[in-house]
Amino acid sequence: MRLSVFHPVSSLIYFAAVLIATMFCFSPAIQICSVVGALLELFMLESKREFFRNLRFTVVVWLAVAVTNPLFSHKGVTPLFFINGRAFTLEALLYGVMLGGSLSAVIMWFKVFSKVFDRERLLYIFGRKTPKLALIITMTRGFVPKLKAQYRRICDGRKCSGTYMSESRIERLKASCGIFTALCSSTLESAVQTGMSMKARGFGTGKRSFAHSFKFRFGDGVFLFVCILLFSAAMIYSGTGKLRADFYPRIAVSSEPLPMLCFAVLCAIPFILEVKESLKWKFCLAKI
Amino acid sequence: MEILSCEDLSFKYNGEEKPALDGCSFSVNSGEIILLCGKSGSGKSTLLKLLKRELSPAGEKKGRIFLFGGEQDRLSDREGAEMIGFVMQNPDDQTVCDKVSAELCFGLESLGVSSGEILARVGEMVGFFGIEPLYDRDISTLSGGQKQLVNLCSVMVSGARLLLLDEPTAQLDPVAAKDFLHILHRLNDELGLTVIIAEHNPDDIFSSCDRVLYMEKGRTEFFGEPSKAAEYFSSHGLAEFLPAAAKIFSGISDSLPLDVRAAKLKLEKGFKPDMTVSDSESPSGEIVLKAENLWQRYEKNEPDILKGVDISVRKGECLALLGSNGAGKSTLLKALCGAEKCYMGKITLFGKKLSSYKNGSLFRNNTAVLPQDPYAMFAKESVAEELRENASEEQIKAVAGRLDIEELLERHPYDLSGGEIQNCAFAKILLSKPKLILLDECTKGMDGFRRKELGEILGELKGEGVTLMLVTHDLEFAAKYCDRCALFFDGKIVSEDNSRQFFAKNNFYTTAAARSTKGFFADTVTPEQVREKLLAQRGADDE
Repeated sequence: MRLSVFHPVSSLIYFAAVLIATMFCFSPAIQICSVVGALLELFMLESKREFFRNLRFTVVVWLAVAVTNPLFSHKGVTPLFFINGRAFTLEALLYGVMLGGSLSAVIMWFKVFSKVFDRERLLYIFGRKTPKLALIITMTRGFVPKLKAQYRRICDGRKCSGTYMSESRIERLKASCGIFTALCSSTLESAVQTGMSMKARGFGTGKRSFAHSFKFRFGDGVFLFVCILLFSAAMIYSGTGKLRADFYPRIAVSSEPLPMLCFAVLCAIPFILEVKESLKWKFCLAKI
Repeated sequence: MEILSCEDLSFKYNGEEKPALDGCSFSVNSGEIILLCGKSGSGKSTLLKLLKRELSPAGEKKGRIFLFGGEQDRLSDREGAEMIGFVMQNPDDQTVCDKVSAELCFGLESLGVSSGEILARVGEMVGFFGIEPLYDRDISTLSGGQKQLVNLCSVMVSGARLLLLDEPTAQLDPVAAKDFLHILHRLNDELGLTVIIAEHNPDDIFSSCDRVLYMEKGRTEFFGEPSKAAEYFSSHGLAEFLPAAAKIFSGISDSLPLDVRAAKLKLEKGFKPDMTVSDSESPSGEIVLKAENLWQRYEKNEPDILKGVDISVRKGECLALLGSNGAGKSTLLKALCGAEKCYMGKITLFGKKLSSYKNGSLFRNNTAVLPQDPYAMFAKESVAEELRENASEEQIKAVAGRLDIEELLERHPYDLSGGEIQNCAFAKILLSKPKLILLDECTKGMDGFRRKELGEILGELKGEGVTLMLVTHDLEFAAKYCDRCALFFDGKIVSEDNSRQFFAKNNFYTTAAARSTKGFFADTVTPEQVREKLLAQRGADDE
């Protein structure tokens, strides 16, 4: 099983665990594990081009934060150089590096989230308890392309009939207003029709249900158990100060190998699963 | 078993003087297909909407409706939604969701059915319709015909036993319309579904329906089997409601054939073959629009839509551009008036290069285009206000009289039916006094009578020296009213001829009249031309 096959609730809990650890455990080891884990997973999920674009983006965000922090924070004991009489300190720089790592890790994990959580999963999470919200999501997503198509049709219609074509700016502004009003009225009109169609199909007769369902399998249980175990280990260690970093005024990093390993494994799970599946696939193909 | 009956049903819209329905009485048995005929505004839509309580318009209703053996009011909301399915004209307006899968589940979700049952029933129905390939697609990427199939399927998923369809194929091309009607027949044959369908184009459904219900001015004037209906229409001057095969023999023979097969048999039995070819004129007159070697594509990496189109239209003629859906006919039309750019090729209009018309001067008293969606041309509160944009009161009056739209002038554009808005859009175009008119699917949503009126107006315009070019799916219309036809295929014009020769030459892509007389008469392509020959033979026999 890979991450996108698990039950939406298990994958949601997984993402929550990783994000909470990344945001609240302030330690370089955690940030590095998190970024690397997310990038490895993205490497498996995305095309090469997309991946390298993401990688570039991450590096830029990281560097930007790292360089900006010392410009505003002048704490620390090791000045590297002075700008306008203010110190650019090593501690502040490293603190920036940490902060940047944390930020880019969160961004990357959200990228993974959007890849894994397709529309059905999202609707399942929100739709089961509040089917109305699910309906709003799906209606909005259906409405936007309709509106675009209608806009094109109206523009074409107006352009071809040539009624509003003119050199003067005021005339052109008038033309745009015309298109806008036409778009509004046609949208309202078709909304009435859509409403009728919804009513005709029983909308509002009773409580709505939700069609999509996912099975919570044995694998989900194992996955969740492992995730929660690793997560709580990392959190407990972090709470007791075994994974922490102080930057001001002096750098003091304590990262013990065991808690670090716990978190590293947690972040690497999607990648490990992905590799396992692709190996299995290759193996199966070879047999076929 | 009786599934539906109306007793003396009358209906008046709020604020209207005339009743929309005036004493309709009829009953429908379970498992029948009923074809609902009538001119635009005869009350077909009103009747269908009254039968579906959720869609009933506001107004004053008299008389009684019985559904499934009880009065309509006794059906619960849930039963009403479940058992009566309704499909409307515009495929876009009916869809609610973003994905086909969500759309199909919508009805059952609204009724609160459990997840497992929803998926099972959707799976079953998708299999029956054969639309598995569409299941995961976004609705916005489907064609009109596919959308309409999804709409029908989503209604059927809820377990409809009575299906009401209000001109479901009016916005579809003929091939998609045929597919849609085919599925309807299968639903009727294999599931015993009762169907009531209002349709403009009788050709595909007239012979295969069980009974025809004809409405006029809100009254049910005729209700009976298709063969009787054909006789009724033929004897009451309503030939426009007849399928082409029956039109040929209307007034010539007593029993009317309803499809091409029957028409062929009847010809062979009672008439002599005649392969003399009528004279044809070769086109003359100055060339108004000329395009050479046009190449166009929308995006850099997409395939070409136009691949070297050559076309020319002469002054005062009417050229029909035919071809299958999505072939690029509309793109060509847009390219010809400069709304879409070509990356290669040359277009000349009235002897001047297209690019020399700047800032819309092409459209000032020169060229006009009627777009596929005529509603797009209207942005004002009323039709008259829109027309006043570029014309005086007197001009509007004259054009309105000509197109028979005086009554519609004060109405809001969106309150008009598909056929009516076409006429209003056409009026708007005529007011700009164009010398060349390009029309995109101008007969869509029109009934036979409106089509005939439009055809006659096109004829008059030609007489005034206006040049016409239309993109259409409507082969019967092209055969009757256009001088030349061109077939657009694979990004090129592959054949071009006088209408008569064009349709006589084709075997399948041709009119019902031409198919009925293939190998019997040389070049009769409209019912009128066949009738002429038949009447001539009759005359000769009598002497």
